[in-house]
Amino acid sequence: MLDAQTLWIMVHVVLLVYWLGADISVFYSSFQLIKTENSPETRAAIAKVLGFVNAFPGIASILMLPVGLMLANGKGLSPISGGWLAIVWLLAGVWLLISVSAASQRGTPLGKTYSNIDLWIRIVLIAVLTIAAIASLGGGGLFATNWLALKVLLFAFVLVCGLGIRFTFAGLGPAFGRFMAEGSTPETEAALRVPVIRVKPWVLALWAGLVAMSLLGTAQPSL
Amino acid sequence: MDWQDIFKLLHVLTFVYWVGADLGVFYSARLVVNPKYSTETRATLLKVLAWIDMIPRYMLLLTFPVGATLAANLGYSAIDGVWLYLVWIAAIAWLIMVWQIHNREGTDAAKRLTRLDLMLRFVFIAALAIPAITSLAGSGPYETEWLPIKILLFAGAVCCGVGIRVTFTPFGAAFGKLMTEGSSPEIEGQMTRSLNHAVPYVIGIWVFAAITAYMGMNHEILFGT
Repeated sequence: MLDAQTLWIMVHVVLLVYWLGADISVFYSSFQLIKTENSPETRAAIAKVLGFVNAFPGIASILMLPVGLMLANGKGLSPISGGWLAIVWLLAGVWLLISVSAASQRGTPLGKTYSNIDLWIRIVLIAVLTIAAIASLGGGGLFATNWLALKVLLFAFVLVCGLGIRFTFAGLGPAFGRFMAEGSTPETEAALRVPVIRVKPWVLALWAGLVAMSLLGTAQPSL
Repeated sequence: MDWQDIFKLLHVLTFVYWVGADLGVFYSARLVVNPKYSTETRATLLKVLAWIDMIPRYMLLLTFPVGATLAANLGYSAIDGVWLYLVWIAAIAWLIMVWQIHNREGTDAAKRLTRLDLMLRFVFIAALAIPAITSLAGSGPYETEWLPIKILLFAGAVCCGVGIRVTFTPFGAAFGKLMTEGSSPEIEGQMTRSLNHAVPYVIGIWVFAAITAYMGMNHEILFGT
């Protein structure tokens, strides 16, 4: 009765739960960070909530691709199988380690190195996924159906949005450090506000991408 | 792609925002009971928690009409036509009420509505469980084996939600005292105990929600229908 495919579908959706579903908490609490009526202590506590919850979308997004490829292979829609799938899992595992280490070592030179490697992995992956998806849509690629190729393309788009969030939010950590050290001044408040406001379109675009991917996954339309 | 696909997507999204948003609630609750923080910080954290917590509450109310629509379109549920419209109207009215309870927190109207809401939940549990059981016994209104089982499991999740409500009541009273009297070991103990008391029910909701989701995604493979 316990078909492996049924479990992979479940894992695939649970990853969405901890990506898209957890993201709303991150988004909402980021606005609490810039509320001037919240004291530094309060904002530090909210930053803690934000940091904890934000780890989940980070991990879920990395695991999404290998799980999706397992499903696609199980449905006969992707030629990446057997040893190739094992390699995909191995690479995803390494990427996950690098990404988690980048977060845990944030603020140190080692953390910076991890973060740079993670960035390059993402850039390469965006290129690879985009090429694979477009080739498949053109009829000469890896994926057998157009909906799946489109999903892969959207995944690349979502990764781009993730990079947009990352670069926009890069200033938030230092700005928050300055705010905690210097207290609330027009300058420290403005420095906090800018990244939180500017990240909004990236986050909304990322969510839209994920919802579109979910629709393609549930409907699996013949495009 | 048709309407059924859109409802399927909505059904998945209600699960996503139900369980996913719960994570923020679960973690911030731990910070609210941390006596190291000032009462001001704890009050703000509780406000953040309460805002995020509304999302799972709305999703719990929306997932049933969405699921009922899916089931009716599949021909597996006799709740169709006018009855299905009534289910939708009731769900949306209830959702507005839950939103108003949050919006008017602390007022007498909110307290009255909270009591009404709790009673409605008992009605809801019965309205879910009884037809599910009669369907399993073979006399409808739901076809197939998996659908009534799913609805029963969902009723289990709603029961856990009531469990959270009940176990969390002392927390609210203790938090009110914290705000007026400041921290004391007695108040802190009452809050932590109340929170710990609610944890199994929270996990219960996640387990029920996960099993129902698993069945929903895989009923064709698991049950052949």
